[in-house]
Amino acid sequence: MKSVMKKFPGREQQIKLIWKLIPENNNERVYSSFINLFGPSGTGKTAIIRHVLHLKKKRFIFINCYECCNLRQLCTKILRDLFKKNEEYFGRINSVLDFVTCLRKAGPLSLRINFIVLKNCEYLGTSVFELFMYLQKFLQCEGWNFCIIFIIDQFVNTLVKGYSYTLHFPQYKKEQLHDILLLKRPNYPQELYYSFLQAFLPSVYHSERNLNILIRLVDFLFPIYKEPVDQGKFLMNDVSNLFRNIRPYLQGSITDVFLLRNRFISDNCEKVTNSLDLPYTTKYLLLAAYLASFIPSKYDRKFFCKKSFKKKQKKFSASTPHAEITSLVAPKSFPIDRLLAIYFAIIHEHSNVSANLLSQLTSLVELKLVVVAGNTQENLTNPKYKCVAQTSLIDTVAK
Amino acid sequence: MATTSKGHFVYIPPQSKKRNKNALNWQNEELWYRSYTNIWNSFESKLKKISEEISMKLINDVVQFVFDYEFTDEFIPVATIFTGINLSDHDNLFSIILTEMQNKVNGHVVFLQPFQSMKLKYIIECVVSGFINGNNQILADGETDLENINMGRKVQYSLSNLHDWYKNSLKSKSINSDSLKLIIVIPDMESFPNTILQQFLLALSVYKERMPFVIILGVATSLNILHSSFSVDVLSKFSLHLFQSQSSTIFLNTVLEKVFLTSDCPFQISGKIFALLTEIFLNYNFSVEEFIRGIKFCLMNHYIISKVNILLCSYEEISNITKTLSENQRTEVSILPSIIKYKKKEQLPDDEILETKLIEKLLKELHEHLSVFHVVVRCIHAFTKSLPGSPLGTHVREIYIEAMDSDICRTETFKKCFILLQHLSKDEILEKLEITINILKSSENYRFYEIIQKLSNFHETLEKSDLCRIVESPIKSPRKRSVAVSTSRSEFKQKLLININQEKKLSEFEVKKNEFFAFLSEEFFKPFLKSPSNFPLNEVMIFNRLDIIKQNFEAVPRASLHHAMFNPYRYLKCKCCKSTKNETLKSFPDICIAYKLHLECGTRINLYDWLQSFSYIVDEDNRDNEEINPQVQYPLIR
Amino acid sequence: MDGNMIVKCRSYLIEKLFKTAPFYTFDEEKAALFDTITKTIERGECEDILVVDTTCSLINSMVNRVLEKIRSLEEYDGNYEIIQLDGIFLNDDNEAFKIIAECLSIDCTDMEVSGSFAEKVTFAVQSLLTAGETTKSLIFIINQFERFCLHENQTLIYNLFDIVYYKKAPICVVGVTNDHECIKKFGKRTLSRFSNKIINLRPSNVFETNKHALKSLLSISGTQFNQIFKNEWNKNIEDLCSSQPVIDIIKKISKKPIYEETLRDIVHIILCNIEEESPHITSRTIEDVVKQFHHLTIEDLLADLSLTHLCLIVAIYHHTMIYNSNRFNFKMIYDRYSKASRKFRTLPQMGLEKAEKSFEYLKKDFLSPVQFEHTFLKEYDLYCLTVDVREVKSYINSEIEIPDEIKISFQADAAREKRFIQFPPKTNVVMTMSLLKLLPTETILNTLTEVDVLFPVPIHPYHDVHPRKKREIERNIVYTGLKDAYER
Repeated sequence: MKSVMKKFPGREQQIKLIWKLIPENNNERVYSSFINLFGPSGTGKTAIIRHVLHLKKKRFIFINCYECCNLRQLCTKILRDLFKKNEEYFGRINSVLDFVTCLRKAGPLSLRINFIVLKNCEYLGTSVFELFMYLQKFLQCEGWNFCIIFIIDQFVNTLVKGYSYTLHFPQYKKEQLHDILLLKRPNYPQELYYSFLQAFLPSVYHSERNLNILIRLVDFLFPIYKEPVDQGKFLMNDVSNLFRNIRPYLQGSITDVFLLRNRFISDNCEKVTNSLDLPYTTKYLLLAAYLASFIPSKYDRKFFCKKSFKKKQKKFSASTPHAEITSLVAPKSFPIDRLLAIYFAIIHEHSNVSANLLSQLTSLVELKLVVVAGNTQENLTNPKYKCVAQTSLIDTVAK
Repeated sequence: MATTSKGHFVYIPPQSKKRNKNALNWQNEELWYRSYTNIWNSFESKLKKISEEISMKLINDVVQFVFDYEFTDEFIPVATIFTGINLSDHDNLFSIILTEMQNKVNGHVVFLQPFQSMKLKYIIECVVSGFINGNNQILADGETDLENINMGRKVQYSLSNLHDWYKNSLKSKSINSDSLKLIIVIPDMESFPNTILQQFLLALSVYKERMPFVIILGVATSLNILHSSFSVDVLSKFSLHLFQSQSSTIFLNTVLEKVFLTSDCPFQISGKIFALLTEIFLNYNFSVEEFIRGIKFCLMNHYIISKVNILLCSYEEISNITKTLSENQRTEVSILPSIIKYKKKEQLPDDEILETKLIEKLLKELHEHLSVFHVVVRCIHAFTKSLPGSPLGTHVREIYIEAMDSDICRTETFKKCFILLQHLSKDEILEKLEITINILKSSENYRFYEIIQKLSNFHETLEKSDLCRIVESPIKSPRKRSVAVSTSRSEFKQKLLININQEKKLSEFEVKKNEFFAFLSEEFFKPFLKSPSNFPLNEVMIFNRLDIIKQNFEAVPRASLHHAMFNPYRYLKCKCCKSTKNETLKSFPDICIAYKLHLECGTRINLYDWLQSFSYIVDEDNRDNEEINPQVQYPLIR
Repeated sequence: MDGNMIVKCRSYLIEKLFKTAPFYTFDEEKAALFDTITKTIERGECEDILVVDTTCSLINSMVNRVLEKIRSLEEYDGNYEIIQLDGIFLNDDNEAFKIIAECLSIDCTDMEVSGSFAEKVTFAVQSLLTAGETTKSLIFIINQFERFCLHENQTLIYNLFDIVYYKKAPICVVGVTNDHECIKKFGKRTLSRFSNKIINLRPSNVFETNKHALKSLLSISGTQFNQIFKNEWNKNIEDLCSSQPVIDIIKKISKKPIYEETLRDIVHIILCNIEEESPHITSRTIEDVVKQFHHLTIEDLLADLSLTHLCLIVAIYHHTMIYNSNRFNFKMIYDRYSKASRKFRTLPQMGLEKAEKSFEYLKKDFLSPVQFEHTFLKEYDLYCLTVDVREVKSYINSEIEIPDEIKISFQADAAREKRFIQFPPKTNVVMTMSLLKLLPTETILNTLTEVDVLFPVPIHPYHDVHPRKKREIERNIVYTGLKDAYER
């Protein structure tokens, strides 16, 4: 137990409890039927429970529910892992009933596994908890002896109802994070790393507490931090200078969270990828769609019916300030005729509605910038659309 | 993209095949077809090469990335390719990636097409069966075709199956097992429902420690979409690497410059059509494939509309083809408008049928001119592309459009260009000149030898000429300097101005420069840039039927609907509906009659009147009868 | 104390806890259920009964206890057959019937085709009755009874009730449910056959039972311990249970919906805490354990948030205060946040993307979607807060670690931007003409628009015009926060 605690600093209390809840002897009856481990992601739930179960030499199966699309697959997967047999052995599991009969057929003694760890169970819907809780009780009555451990990072109401034990893994505090990060990277020069953390943590802590993200940040930032030291520009203990060096990166990664962008992606690539390369008319069509969905139709007359020289002016003014005024509510749907009317108002020349233009509308739909609102089959004659492009995107297009 | 939201379709009339099949005899048809295929095949092979070349860098990058990636437990690598929105071109790109990947990377590839993916379960089944069955077929093809899916249905694949399979295959192939990779290609991210893709990626992430997945993701729009569609949970499980594909405008330009706007390409398109096609490209779809299809359509139509167009072929084949011309065809050649013009010029009798030899000669002339023309167009391009305001455009294609239909040397913009060119510095001029010489040299055309010689002379002299040394200006100003006497301030000012304008001494360089530009415009550009459409027999090589293209490429649904209703012959091509005047025939389809009547009546129509007039037309026998035959009434009610 | 003894004692107690210890609650109800079932078995009577438990935890174990008791009675051996049906597994009546057929070992394959469902059931029951020389009673235990009500036409339960009603066969139908409105879900047909016998499990005298249970669960008896140890231990427990802190704890947990099963879990953890080094159970350990059993509170959840999340929460709070609606989308909240951050420069800054991700994180625990229509854009999906705003407020104000600027912005902004005052319907409010113009006609609620609290201009007109009514108006103002503004 001590070794586990050393490995997971800041989790002493939880480890102590888990340790106690899991009986020493393998043949001993498992009494607590459920253990819920609850806490935000990156607080060590999975790692600790796996570690403890390993240390105690328990037989357990671990299933991450993400890989199962539905309950049926989960059941199949459990059976597979429980009995180490292929699907053909059980036949097709169509319902929970099949699952239960399958288990009962095998009999309680055939089960050599005492622990089933289910992660992300809420992904399949909260009813799954209910089901498994009931199932466990049900089977316990028939002499089965196993414990289900749920790992949850979402507050599930059914759990609150009150017949299971929930172990809360709170988010790490600053000092704990510091300890963990120190522990995670022994291959860096110790002293330098320490001073880095000293400067780094306080500046990120208020906006990010998730350990996983912090580790990624450290992975990303520390080499940059270290670079001048390797080059001999600064001394190792010149923390303030060194830290100034990474500040721009730090700011960027904190504000837009996209920490996954690696350093090699240079800025120009970023620029290109942020702008949207659209054909000329499509751009205007998109703008028109945007205006149509965010400006109420009662203003149409005001905005689009003035003399042509005013339109251009409107075009630019409309795309930015109106975005602010009206974009607090969801986009409204608009009929295609209105879209075309606005389109011809903001584009100066007057041409016919050609199939090419309409096909651009479909390609916008394909790109998920515009969606068809309502049932398409119902109104072939006057389809309605909705613009779902992001405001920032529209802004760049409008430029 | 062909269907539009309103459900209009571009209707290509079947007239072309029918009529021409009757008109042409079999042998000729074979002939034109042969030359058509010849030309098209040469196009296609070039296109393929170019598209490969263009995307090669990107593909190499991606493949290299996949090849190099070392697997860690923490993340699944995701190579994100920003492909631009030209959806129809993507398939090409990804198929190349696929083959490259199979050749170079030790792994299995699965291609995930959006249409297969309505449900998460189904996607997983597709992917797993793709991997497993792909392996059985000796890595043949990762694509999950229908058969595989059907097999998958029976077995019910899940990711744990895949894991078993992966372990087995590791055991069996012990040699390269370290770098075995499972590659999933998702060519079009937008067409997946957000949540499903997210769930799929989450499901993969469960196995990230145990199986080396690589995901290649094609994104048509922008980086934002990745942001908005994935949550932090998902993003934190992947390491993203971005790749940017070539923008399709660049792609188009290279295709044009290397395939269509070259001298060895016999088939030419008139400037207007060309402009139309590029406009469609730029304004509407950004799809090179669509553009090429347009050119193909032109080519097909070109052979179809006239029998004479058999003559379109490569330079080497001209003599062969002209020999096969029949009497009939020669007559037809002789009445081509350009030939008639030619005859007038040469003072040949109007009704003379051209000799085969003459046709051959004319054709060859045209060919030669064209080959020169293209090279010179490029030269102009080299000169003008970087001019401020770019009056002639920045791309070769823009100059081509200008020069093809009319004499570019006479246009205002051309003159403006030359004025602008005068203001260039010495270095710039020299640089441009060098480029031009290189272009000319690389064309290896005998007609340029002289020009090259002259140009390099100019290059030499220009280079030597001094910027400062003042030479006597060739035009002597009649007046002497007369600054001394000045009565008023304004007068003085005027005089100064005059002095500046007139008394400007030209440096040696400037003199040479003027000489050079005079040569350039008069001797070089003017003769070579003569518009090919002024040459005799140009109809054979240049496709200029704008109307056909407009009709087929600029579909205007409402108008075409109107036309179809108004004049059904246009589409139906049946004898009964053929009407010369604007009359309504009984034999028209009912709906057309109703429509025409409706048009006559203005905005509102009385239903009864409508019916009356309808029956008046349809039911000729009972015109006097007051009561309307229900059989007649029926179609209108419907 | 002997360490060995302690370990032994612990395992004994755990064993006892899960195997031998009797249940302490619902004795009467258990007896009633037992009676009903035994009546059927002994005399072949037909019974139906519904056991309803609103507290949702105990019911199954209670029924199981009864069944165990019946099973243990040898005199009934062979006279009955227990069929358990679980609504949670069974999606339709045919599946249920399969189970029934299996239990009764009837070959149902030849019946698949023929007859309606009712015929099948009666046939099954009849065949069983006629098969043996002695008739067996059938006891149907139907768990999650409310789920069977959702089945098509409620065929199964109707048929079972029907058999009971006409006394066609000696069966006993025990419906077990957590849903206290279960009967309302019955169709007319079903209701007409139902005998309306209901056992309602309502805990009475929770404190006493809990106290008793705790004491007896912790005390030891039996021969494997020597007398001295036994006495000492039991004495210890006795003292512990009558000590004031423990009584307080029991009182506390008795108020909350923690019942015997949970109490057992608590005891389990307490027992787990017994170690050789710390053999004594103290009131302190009990308190700690109970605290852990305390369901997660909002404070716990809020403590896991980072400052950016808190900023958004504050923005949400402001939004709900200002617009008096609990619905919002991301755009609204971000708008509010950026307004606040413009005012309070020290608030943690975040870009749109970061805010979006933080909002996403909040969705997990604090927000629930309101609108089920798909808006296609995440930032426009409407949500409402699942936690109580006041609790959030009190947490933010009390927590030390939260920087002051958030606290300040939290209070100041809410007061400043309050723009609507609500009056109860039919209050006499005097309005100036300009205010009157702004009101929509015919509102039930007299709403004054644009009343800015910090600039109390609109207040003066009231007592200028009608000084006598000033007090009345004040009394009718609902929102308490405004009253402070008056008094200031």
